[in-house]
Amino acid sequence: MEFLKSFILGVKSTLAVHLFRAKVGHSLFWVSAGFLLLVAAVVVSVSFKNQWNYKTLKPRGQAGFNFKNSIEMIEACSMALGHNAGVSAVCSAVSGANSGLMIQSGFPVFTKNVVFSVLLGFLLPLWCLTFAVEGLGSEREGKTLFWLFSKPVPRSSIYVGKFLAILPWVIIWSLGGFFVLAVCAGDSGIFAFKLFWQPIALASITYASVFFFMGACLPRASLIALAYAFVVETLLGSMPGSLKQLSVAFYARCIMFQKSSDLGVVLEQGGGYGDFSQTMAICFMLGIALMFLVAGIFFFGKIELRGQR
Amino acid sequence: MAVTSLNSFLEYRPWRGLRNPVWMGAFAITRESLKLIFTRKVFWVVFSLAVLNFLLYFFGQYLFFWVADQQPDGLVRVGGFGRANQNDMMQFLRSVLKMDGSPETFRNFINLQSRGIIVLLVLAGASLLGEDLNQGSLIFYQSKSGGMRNYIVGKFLAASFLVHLFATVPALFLFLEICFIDTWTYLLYHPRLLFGIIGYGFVINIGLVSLLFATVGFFRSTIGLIMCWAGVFFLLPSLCAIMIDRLRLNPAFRVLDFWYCVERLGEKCLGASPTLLPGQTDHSLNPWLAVASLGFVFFISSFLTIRIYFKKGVES
Amino acid sequence: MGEIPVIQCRNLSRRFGSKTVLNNVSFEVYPGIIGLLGPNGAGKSTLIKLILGLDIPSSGGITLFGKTKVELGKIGFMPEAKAIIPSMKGFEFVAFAGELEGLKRKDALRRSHEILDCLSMGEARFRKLGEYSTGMIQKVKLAQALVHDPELLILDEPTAGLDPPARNQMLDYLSYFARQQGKSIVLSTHLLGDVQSVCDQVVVLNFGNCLASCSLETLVGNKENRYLIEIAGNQIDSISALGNLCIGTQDMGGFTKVFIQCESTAEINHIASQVLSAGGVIKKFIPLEGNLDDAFFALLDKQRMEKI
Repeated sequence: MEFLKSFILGVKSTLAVHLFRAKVGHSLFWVSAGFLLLVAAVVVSVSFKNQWNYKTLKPRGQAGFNFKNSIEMIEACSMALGHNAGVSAVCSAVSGANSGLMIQSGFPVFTKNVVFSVLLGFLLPLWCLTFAVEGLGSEREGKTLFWLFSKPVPRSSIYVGKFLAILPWVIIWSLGGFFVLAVCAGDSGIFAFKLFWQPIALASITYASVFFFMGACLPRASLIALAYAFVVETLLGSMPGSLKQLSVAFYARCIMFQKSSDLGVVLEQGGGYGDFSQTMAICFMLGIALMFLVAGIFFFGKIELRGQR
Repeated sequence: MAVTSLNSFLEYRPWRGLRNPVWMGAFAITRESLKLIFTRKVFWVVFSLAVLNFLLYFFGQYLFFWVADQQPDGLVRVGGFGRANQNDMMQFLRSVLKMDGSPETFRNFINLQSRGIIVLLVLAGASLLGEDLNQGSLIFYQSKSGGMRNYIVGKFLAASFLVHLFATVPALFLFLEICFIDTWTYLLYHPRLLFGIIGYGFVINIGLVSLLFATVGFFRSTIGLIMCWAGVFFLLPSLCAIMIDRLRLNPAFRVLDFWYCVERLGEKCLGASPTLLPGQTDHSLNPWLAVASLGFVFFISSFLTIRIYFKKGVES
Repeated sequence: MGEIPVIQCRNLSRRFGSKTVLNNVSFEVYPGIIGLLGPNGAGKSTLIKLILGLDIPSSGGITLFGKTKVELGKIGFMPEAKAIIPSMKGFEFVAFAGELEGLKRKDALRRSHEILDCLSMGEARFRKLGEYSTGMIQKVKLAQALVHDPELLILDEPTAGLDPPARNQMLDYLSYFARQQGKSIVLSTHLLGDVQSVCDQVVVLNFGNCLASCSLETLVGNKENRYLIEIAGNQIDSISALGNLCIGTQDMGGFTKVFIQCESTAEINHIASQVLSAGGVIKKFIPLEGNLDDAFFALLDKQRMEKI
């Protein structure tokens, strides 16, 4: 009981001190902001050319042939069979349905090209990294942990309090970034945002937990975190096979895959994203987050402070 | 104050010897920076990978000319493993690995080596330059006769040395090897290749080193450097792939992809025929756009470099 | 003094935007050890950068040895920042500094060892700078400033972070190089004790203004032939026996502090015998020394009063 009291006190005071002191002035922050701007500019230029659809997209394995050609072919068929009213009606219905689909195809194209690959595979890990690693990492490197440890509260409460202090910033930044990209992409983007904001938020919490653990407990945390982000999340996450189940992004993709499958849109064939149900994927992500939080509390309590130089 | 412990001093001697011209100090800076890089493990890892790649090409060439020398339409003994069809092997070496002494050979080789340079500069570049900014050592260089001019020249030479050590010099060795294996007429028929190799080396040199100076000066840490270079060498190409190869925007957008531009210029230097990478739908960036991209990076980087290195030191 | 001033500043100002770091500073200093004194943020570092030519004054000008063009080869600078390359060995670093000043590599190495010998740096020179203690780093930094045998040494906080023996040693080196090797030394510091123990001339800066530039004695005040005697026993008689030699008294309860001014040191014995014959007991008899602290704070106070 005594422990719980001081724990809550510690969390409360750490949260109060650090919530509004998230470091946003350092250079990594500007890199992440620059990446967001860059991707947003690209998305805007694609929206400007009105290219978020299958019109010019190529079916797999057919060089020099795109969906637009196929509709033209169907229309040509209906022309050729013009004297048969029934067939031509079917043909025009098919081509009309197809071109209608094409106009509405912005959502899967945007999701596939921006949300699945660039956002989940590259931007989101980096954004979470910039906030989360700095959380206790800067204190470790700045040797100010002495000061934190001199407070009469358990170390675990400092860890939890700091984590809770950075969490809102991580979520705001990742959802905000996603929102900016979505708005840039127009209607289909906003549709994607409404559908996918939960998995993105969940993924950012999980990333925050993983990177926060690295920042608090590992030496040279930023390097390790960057290596993790690039090797595990970006490289493994985009490889075929089951190795990608090691990456956090995989579970977010599972949720997104199934959310869009419910609407009848299959985002990626054979990615293995159907193997995990939504609930399972959510459980996995929360499980990873919790695991790293607990591990962090455990190892953070065991840190030995070396002399200051 | 009573000077008590002076008898323990050895006598100080004034010095009035001949001095080198001041700009020679730049070479001292180059030497010391290279020494620093050579003590890093990452250098030796990347260097050994580069040497492996060089050996692959070296013996690949050798194999190609050896196979070509065998009896036509015969079977070639491959070690103790059995025999292979000569034409199959020629076909494999010529069109798959492109190890036939053509411009594509050198393009592929330098492209691969330059990946190594990027990794090396990203991991060791901060110790080449960034630590001086962090440790406040810039004032040390500033207060010497050569000042920052020597510093910039010296560090530029050091980074350039690394680039040429990895790319240009081994490529020239390969060229020389072919001259020896084939005949020296190879040199007469392919003078462009020789200049192309050197030209490509310098394109990489200017592009990478100016980028390195600006990013290290701006971020001052390995982390920032890695993130920024990941953006340039990873995010930009994938964005360009989405825009051009999947959504069919104007191929001129590839001008955003700095490294693509450098490789394209190298291809032009060597006169190699363009080859599509898997997934690529278009490979027709106007070379002048590539030059513009490189020039843009060079000028922005030079501007930043001058601002950061000539001004920051004064403030710190 | 008919000598050429080492440093001469005329109406020197440096402004960063609206912030004035140096305001109309004028002074000239002559060979010897020059103390550049001032609290933190007084503009010392900016002044040093202007002297070294690393920064350009907003107005005014500087001449070094009577020339307006700065010759960095004649100046050795020891920066305040750590400014070392941690992976280099001590002697390599000093030789490197020499090479940057144009020494040939062979000369630079020989010279590096000479200087490090002179600064009694033993085997430690073969270790990496990253493993050095603060005292050794300061020595190496002094060595790299000396390696090309400059005429003027500019030292920014050379005693910062040193323990008392190391600090004394550093000050010994400074007075050795100034007195016996004829180097001019500019010693920038906020430690008054350092200045008082080695400097000949003082330039006092505060808030970018030059409060004083003169010899140390002038600043501190001439206190020659002033003494403090603490007298116990028959205090009243003793004081009256001293007559008009006594320039002030202070009753301390059991004894009295008496300040006296005499014509020459020859009078000391006479004074003592007078006190003793009047029944006084001499507890202490000490010469009064000028105190830089008092003079320095008086200057700062004066400036503060003027501002108000």
